[in-house]
Amino acid sequence: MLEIKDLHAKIGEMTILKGLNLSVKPGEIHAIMGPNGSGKSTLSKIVSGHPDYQVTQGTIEYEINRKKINILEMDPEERACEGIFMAFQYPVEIPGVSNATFLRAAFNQICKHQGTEEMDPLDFDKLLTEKMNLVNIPELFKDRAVNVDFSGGEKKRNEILQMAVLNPRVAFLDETDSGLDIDALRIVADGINKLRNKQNAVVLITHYQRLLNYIVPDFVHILMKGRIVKSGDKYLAQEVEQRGYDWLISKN
Amino acid sequence: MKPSIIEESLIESIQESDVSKLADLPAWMQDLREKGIEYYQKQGLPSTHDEDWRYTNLQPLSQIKFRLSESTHVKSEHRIDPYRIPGALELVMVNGHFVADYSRLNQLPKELTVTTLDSISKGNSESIQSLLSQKEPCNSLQALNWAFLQQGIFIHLQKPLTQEVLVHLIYLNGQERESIVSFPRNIILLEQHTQLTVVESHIGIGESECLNNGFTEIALRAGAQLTYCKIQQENLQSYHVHQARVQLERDSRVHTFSFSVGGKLTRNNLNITFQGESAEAVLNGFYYARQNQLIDNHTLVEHLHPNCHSNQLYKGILRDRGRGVFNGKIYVHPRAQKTDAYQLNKTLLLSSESQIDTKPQLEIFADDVKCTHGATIGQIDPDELFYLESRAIPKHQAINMLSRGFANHVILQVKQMKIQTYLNALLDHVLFRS
Repeated sequence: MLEIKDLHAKIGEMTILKGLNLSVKPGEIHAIMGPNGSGKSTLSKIVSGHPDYQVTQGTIEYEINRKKINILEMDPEERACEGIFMAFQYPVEIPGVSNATFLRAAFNQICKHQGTEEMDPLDFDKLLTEKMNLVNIPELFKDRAVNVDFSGGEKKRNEILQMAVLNPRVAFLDETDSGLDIDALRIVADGINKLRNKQNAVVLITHYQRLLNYIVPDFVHILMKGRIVKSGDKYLAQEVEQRGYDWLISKN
Repeated sequence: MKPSIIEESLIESIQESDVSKLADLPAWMQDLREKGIEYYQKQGLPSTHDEDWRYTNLQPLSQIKFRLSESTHVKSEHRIDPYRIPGALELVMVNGHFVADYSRLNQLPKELTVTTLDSISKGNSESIQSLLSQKEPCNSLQALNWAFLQQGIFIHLQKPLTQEVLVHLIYLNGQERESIVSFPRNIILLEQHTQLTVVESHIGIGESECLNNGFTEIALRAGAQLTYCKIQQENLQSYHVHQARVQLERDSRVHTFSFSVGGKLTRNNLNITFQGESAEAVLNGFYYARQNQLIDNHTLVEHLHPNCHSNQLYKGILRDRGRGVFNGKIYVHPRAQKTDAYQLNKTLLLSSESQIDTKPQLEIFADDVKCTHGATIGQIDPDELFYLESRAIPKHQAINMLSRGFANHVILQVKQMKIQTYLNALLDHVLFRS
């Protein structure tokens, strides 16, 4: 459902992606690993439509109602409405806007886009409670300002909560595991596992194999210098964990 | 500076309309009126050459033929309902005239006097006169307000109340297509150790350009506490100039909140004077100017006595060609040792054509004081914007949500939930309708 072909992109004058290819089908879990600066975060930002990045070559085709559409033409909010989601590596704090208000606004936009009625506040509150239980977030986080004074782990869980509420078709999770202790990691991984199904797909961007003990990927890709240099199954992640990335460089 | 012919026309056009109606007033009011007229005729309207009025040009006022209105007509009483605050004692004034039918004063506690100026008793009039010890007006606008002193509201709390009381003064201004001028006048006096909340709302009900020139005099006796919230939501053609003067005796505390979202031109002067030791003043404000609006807030805090605290936070959002002015002056007199004065002004600019002129002014003549001030001017954070957009929220709505968040912090300074709710609803209305 998502087909990235020969993607080249830069930020300012710096070229980061140099011909990246990736194909994601419903029901799949992909893991993208790679050293710092290889372009992992750039990829998720481009997929979600961050304005700072400029795509110089290539396409990202996304299947909407059996039609393939190049999402590079779409605004970030349109992409989100069509079911593309990114969990931020560094979730942004939004003072003065409560989590519940924010999530309801987002949820209702998607309803509107799909041509269904907006959910009334009480029903949404019920839905939110349900999703909060799923990712183990206390209900008092409803009224707290989005991510403000949240701990690192709470911010990451809040990203998964948003994913649970918005129910995307493709989710890019950008280093959702970084900065989490082992208990928080388990909660986040549990949440993601509960949210996966045959219709949706998850792309995990991670530095560590650790997360993949909890969420078992169907494919593992190694991203280096802006291109995927090797793809394999979960054992590739274990190999990288033991040997590092150097052996892949020398091969190239 | 001699007033030009054009400047005189303001007073003339008002005089023409109905000066005789102002005749039957008590002597002390007549006296104030004469002083006002005399001062205004000498000084005229301030010009932008005057440092205090550098960014705010009142000259267009002289081109408009204003008249006083006798009309207290409101299309229907329901027209007032959205502006009411549940549970408040409410006084409704239409074009400066008190309308008992629209007001809600049946729960008035015996400790509290709320009355119009022309109907106050002799005893009270003496205490008012001692309050109004000012020899002459301190500027032309105050002079105009004095010159047309006709009615006004006197709020006097003699003894501590057993429950929280909120008094809401609702000023409805305007008439279909006429340029109406009104001169609201309020006097709030809190005796020792009493506590009260007063909200003063100015609301436009017509479509024409009006002038609202209000003056509120506040005096807190020792240990008294007042929350005073002034809300301005007039139509975008109107001129609103308002002055409030607060005198604080020892151990008293005032919290002022100025919320301005309406008017073509708004000027708020807020003067706080510490008349005794260990008093405290918290000054908060919010302004939102869009289209061609100008909102100008001038504050002056005079520390005359030791151990007093003042704390100011004003925040504003400017969009389209909206302009803002903030001028905050803190004056610490030689004997006001251990003064603690803090001031911060933060403005969010939503367009490249919006403009803020912000100027802190500290004049310190005592050596053992703590004074800080700051001003920030910012734009929407692109990371925050992208975060919301990536969650399906359209750009314009995301900008409004972030603006809402920016304003939220200052609105939370108002501790009375009823007022907070009221202000939040008003803010949502102005932010999200545009």
